[in-house]
Amino acid sequence: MDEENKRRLAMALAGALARTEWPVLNISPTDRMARETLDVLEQYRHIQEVAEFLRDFYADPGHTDSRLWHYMKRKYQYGVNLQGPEQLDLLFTQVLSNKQSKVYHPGVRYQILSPDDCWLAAIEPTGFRVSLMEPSTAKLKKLGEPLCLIQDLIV
Amino acid sequence: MSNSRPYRLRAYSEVVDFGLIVGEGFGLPDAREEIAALSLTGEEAGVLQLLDEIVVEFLIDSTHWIDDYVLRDDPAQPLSHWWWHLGKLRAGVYPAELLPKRLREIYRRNSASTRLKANAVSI
Repeated sequence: MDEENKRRLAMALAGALARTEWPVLNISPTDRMARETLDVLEQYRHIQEVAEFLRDFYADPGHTDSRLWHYMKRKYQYGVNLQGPEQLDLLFTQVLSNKQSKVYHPGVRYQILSPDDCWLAAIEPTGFRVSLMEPSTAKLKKLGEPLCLIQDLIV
Repeated sequence: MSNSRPYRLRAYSEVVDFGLIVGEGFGLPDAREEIAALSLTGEEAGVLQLLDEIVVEFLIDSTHWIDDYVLRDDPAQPLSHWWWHLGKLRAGVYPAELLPKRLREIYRRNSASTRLKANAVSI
């Protein structure tokens, strides 16, 4: 990796660590992907955070907070024990700040894999947080050699 | 565990729900291929069908941004395994007759709708 690419990556990482901003998603409530999640969430409407999310979502589905969408999906559809959306941010920060995390660059965004291979965080070159995924063993094999480790960016 | 049917379905679901929705699809074809040869229960087959429908519907909706690497087809893979040919699906040039019935319906309906939208814009 040349110095210019290293500088860009370092800027993206610094941005994603400094600001916990996630992008806005344009979700159509009639899409199958959304419908599946919304149907699950309807079953939990009696819970305040779900009711509030659904209220805000239906008011403007074209401007859905990606972080909240991820949180609702993980917690209520996938059954992951999360205390709040800030826990996703904490996980994100842990992945990005671990010196042993590996960096990949398959396309426009950077993908950072935690040392235990449990989480793959995607960030924009502009420093936006995009997604936090659990990579499968097949996906890990496909990732191949990393671009670098986080520690390679620390001077 | 990593070879079990639920694990493989979950791996596919993960990449669809948390990757594709933001335009990422790293390992999606591999995850789908790993399920292709499995003997699924009725419930699992239903889950798989829904995930496949989500992928096709998402891909052919041109309003969704998808990173180019997701759309790079693998010509070495059989055309009947549509998950290796997401670029063709996106471009509307995948042979519809090779898709399972439900996916074909979505592909044809949404492709036609996309063409109408494109025509409306160009008028």
